[in-house]
Amino acid sequence: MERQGGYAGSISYTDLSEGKSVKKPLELALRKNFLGGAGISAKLAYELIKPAAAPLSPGNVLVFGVGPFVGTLIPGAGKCNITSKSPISRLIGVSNSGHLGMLKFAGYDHLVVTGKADRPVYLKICDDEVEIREATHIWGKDTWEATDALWDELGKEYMVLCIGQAGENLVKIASIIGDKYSAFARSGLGAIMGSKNLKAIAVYGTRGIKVAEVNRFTELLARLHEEFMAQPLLREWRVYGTLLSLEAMGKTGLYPYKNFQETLDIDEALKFFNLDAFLQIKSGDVACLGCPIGCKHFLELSEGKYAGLTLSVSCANAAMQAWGSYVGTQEWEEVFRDVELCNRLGLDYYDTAHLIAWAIELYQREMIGKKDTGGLELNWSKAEVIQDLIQKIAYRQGLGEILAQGLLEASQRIGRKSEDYAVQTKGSGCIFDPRVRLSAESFSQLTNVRGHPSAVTVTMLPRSPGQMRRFAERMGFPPPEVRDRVLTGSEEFSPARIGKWFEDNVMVFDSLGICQFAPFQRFNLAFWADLYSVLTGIEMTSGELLKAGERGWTVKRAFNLRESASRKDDSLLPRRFVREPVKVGKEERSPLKEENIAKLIDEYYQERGWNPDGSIPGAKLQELGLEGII
Amino acid sequence: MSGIGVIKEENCSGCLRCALACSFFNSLEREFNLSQSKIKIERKNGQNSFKVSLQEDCTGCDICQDYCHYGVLG
Repeated sequence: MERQGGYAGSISYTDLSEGKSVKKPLELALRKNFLGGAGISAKLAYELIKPAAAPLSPGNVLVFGVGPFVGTLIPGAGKCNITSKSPISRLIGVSNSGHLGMLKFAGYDHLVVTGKADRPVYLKICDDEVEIREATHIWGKDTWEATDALWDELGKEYMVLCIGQAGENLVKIASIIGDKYSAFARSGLGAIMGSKNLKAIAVYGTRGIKVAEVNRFTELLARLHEEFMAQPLLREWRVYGTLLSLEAMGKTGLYPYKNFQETLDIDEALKFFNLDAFLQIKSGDVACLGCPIGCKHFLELSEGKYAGLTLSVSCANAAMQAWGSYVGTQEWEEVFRDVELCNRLGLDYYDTAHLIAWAIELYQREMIGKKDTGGLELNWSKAEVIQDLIQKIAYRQGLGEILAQGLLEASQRIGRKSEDYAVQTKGSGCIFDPRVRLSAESFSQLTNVRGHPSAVTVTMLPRSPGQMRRFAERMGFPPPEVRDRVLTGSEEFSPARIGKWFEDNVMVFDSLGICQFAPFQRFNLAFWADLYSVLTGIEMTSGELLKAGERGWTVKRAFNLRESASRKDDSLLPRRFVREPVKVGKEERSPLKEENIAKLIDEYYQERGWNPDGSIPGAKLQELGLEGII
Repeated sequence: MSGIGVIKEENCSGCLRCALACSFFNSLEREFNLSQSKIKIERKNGQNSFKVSLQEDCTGCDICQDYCHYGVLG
């Protein structure tokens, strides 16, 4: 074969029951058809996880993936993936984060972990050595303590993924935390690690990542670099990170308040929740591997209740949404204290905040009382109550034992019509309110394979005439032949139809390893395809790239269908969305009509080429080269 | 030895672009390899603060400065 590049070239298969690791080559067919990262992880998960395997049993498999772009100076190429079967939904579970790139330098594109150790262990991966080591000395420690202990033991050059007490206690919304802050938060992956008695994975490597066509790659890299750095607002993206959208999102009504009963009054909130106050506690920029923006933040609280607290936070907007809006408003210091607790204990702060907001509403409605809460009075915006519940969830104590099951099961356990107030799809709390705005992401919460949408899109905020067409031209998707049916309506997009194209594009990015952050969404697919070709030595057109994204997405859908998911699971609207209006400022937005949503689901399935019942026809499998494979 | 030095270590975000660039542009094979870089980014204690140091065998090509967008080197 011609010179290859991009990929490390191997998969490590580590069986914790057998106590063994095997290194196998990463096949060319997998690279060509699924690209890497999330795509190959999806395919491996489909092959290796037997239908009906219990998510917290040794039969579940954790697939870690790092795409070919990661570790190569391509700006924003730090994004990595973990795929498994989620204990929240019992369907496919997926989470992406910027912190696993070191796996490539150890010589692996993927790590597959099966079985269960008979005592607490951690994996130490250094080049060809994959050791299963004792972890009883760090079991019971939070993620910061455990990571520090491993850094002392192994050296700080190791990248460490770790679970906290929540994962150890099999809390269904437990996360995996990288280097103390970078979270693979969604889908309960931390509980899966805990169920395998796997406390941490520590990786270091001395291997190199090659480039197939060096001269051409260097030229394209220089061009990408120049165009990238010429974008406006890059400095602001760094300084404020995801908070740059705070005011625009707030004015659009995109911060659900008090469990989606209202939307946050942003003008009131900005009086204390403003960017100047945030900058008082921000003391540095933190970046994922290879990123020139550094949208994450190093925070130091030098005064107030938590003086002395230092932490890093990935998405400050998510922190503010979860701890400054779902549960009522709180000062920045309380928001970041909640983030600290979730990072240490290893909890997804979106779903944790959802559960707490739901519990507060139930208490306010007298559907649960002090006998359920152990005497605690649940009220909005009460920092001590919120922090108490975060800890109770991590340790499964009192009401925390029920909340630790996730929104779907917790509402089934409480009964009393509490499920009517659980704002979730496929067990995961909603992030966007489709009553406020029907965007690609608010719609895709219904049809997405894991509930919560995979990424924000340009349709999140209102679009003026011509913008979506220009976007499609610049990005190279949706392709020209479908634009007349996809780019329709008052803002020139159909949320259901364009949702399919965004999902496929997200899959491309998550498979190559590129960040979804806005500045990286401004390059044409043809450019990424060229870069892929010269980096890896595998020729790829933009059409083939997008097809690979569709293929990976379809495998995830097939995984769910094999677990008996159907159109029914895509149609389960939170009751709040169909029964209650919601105010954005003074304007009231109507509840959703189920028949309208049903039409959108029809459109989404049509755009995907699926049957009206949500199953995948043979012709589509054949078109994607998946016939006989799924 | 390089004319540039570490001028604002506290700005380091841990992105490792300097180390990626150093290893790639200074290797005959043109490979990205963090362990071969002549600029070392080492984690300090606590939360994501870093020590930045140029190794003795740094060739002085200054490519690390070209790829650092955080103003650490100058």
